[in-house]
Amino acid sequence: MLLENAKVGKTVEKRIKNRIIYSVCLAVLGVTSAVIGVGGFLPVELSDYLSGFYSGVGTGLIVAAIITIIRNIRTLKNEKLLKEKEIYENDERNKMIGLKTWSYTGYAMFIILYVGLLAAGFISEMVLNTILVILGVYALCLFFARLYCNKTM
Amino acid sequence: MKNYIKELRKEKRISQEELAAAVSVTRQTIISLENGKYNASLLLAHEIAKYFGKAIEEVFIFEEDTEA
Repeated sequence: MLLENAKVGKTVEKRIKNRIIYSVCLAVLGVTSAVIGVGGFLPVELSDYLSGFYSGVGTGLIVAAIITIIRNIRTLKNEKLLKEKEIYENDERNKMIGLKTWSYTGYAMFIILYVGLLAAGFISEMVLNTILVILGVYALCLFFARLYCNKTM
Repeated sequence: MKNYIKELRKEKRISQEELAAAVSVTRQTIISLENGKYNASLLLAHEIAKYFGKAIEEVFIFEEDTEA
């Protein structure tokens, strides 16, 4: 039993360490976006809107990544927080809530996209085609996710 | 699915927090189980029954007419 617990603890620890690595990657991505936003070295001139957009997205990513890194390092260093995190993440009700949240969001997104598609026809053909492509990609993702789940479960 | 978690917990004089810690779930999960808002998985049902030293069917009552 003790060995099992130790194994679970290690899994959570590994998961948190991986999260820190992903956050560092996100921060690098953020820095790249922010640098693109600032521009100057790019062969094409960015409009004020695009420059602001890339800088904003980049800064947001950097801030989010830094917060995530700090929180995860704090959790790793504190045995009590680590145990709490382990219970929270392994709790089957929380896992179920997470799955259902994604599922409901997926349904909502599909309906919103469909309504948007109908409304876009009255606004612009380009917007309509864009939403159509998004809807198509969404449907494909859904199809392949189902295929994957069917094979693995 | 009905269960006797609340009764067994009170009989044993332990808090929801203590039971949650013993079976490695959050206190909220124990609350939801006791209120009948959430049905435990087989694994959790086994853990809870083991904790109380009972068989699963003594803690959890499966009603055929009720949806899981």
